[in-house]
Amino acid sequence: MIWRSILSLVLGLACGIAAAIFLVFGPVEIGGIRNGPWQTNANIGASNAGPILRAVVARRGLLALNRSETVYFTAWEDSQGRPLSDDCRYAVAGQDMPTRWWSLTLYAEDNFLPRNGDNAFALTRTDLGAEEWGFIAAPTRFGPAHWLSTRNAGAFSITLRLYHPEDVVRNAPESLNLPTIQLLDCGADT
Amino acid sequence: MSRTLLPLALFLASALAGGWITLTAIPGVIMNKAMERIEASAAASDGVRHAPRLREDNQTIVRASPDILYSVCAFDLTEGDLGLTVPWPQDGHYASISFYDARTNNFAVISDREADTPLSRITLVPAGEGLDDPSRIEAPTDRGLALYRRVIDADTDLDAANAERQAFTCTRLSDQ
Repeated sequence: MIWRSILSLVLGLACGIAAAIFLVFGPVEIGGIRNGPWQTNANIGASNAGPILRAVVARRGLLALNRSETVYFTAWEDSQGRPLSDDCRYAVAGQDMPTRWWSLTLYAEDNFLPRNGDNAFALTRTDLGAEEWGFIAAPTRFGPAHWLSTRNAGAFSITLRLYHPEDVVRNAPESLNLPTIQLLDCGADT
Repeated sequence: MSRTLLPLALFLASALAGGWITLTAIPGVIMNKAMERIEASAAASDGVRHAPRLREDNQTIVRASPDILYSVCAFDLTEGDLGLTVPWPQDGHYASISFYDARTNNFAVISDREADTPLSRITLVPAGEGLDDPSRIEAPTDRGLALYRRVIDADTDLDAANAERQAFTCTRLSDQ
């Protein structure tokens, strides 16, 4: 009986630790609020975030700012819900957003900037303008359009940062007109 | 019956405990690594590391922003209060100083929007020693990080921005 109890304890501990590690280091997306392909979480950077979210943020977004300073949205999918892939080309389009300044950054599957030598991993309000705008996310430059390089990025993601957002961004992020991400083509077509 | 239920209950309880302990420990472990790295890299620059503009070949932290110049210092209040000077951009761009405790919580942030002078002076003190003085910020843990962010864009004069942020300093007040 004692050995069975000890075995149960050890197995339970191992399973609990493994589950926690998988939750944090596995393919778990930071949950929260959705707006089209974009996801955000009201607790990022907050001291009242629960242990799961805090651990996930520590791994994926260490030293994030709280929502009074910056609201972060991240897209791992296109506007039709398909995972983003460096094998495809995407048209991203949007308009100005209710915030002091914003930027869009493309991260590779490992959560770092893509290591591809293209130096095309970010665009900002300064680059794209305050009216309607668009750019292409693709492995190679596509005409004269603004471009983010997805080369060597794997299952990449795009993070939108809104600095000093207006109240509507914090209070109703699901109501914002955020950029759309439309798949153009994949594979040999690129 | 108890021959089955007891091991099952022990398994579930220890699984929950193991998961909770691991989740609670992960932020501290990650933060500790970050602080050690920053302390090592800032040792030769009076406690502050002025990180170069982010490029694909100099990344150390996941999902850092290439549109921000980062300067950072690690603090340890067991060795004395920390005095900081924080410059605010003269070109009107966003900047902030944010403080993180040893568990990654962002416990305080001040941005250029709240600043009324080109250079703010802040003292970081242990919990309970703020004395209701807004320039004295209480840290919930003795160790942590102070991170200065300054937005740069295609129009920014990088040399001027780099020179400006050298005024971000962290000084242990017991050294004075």
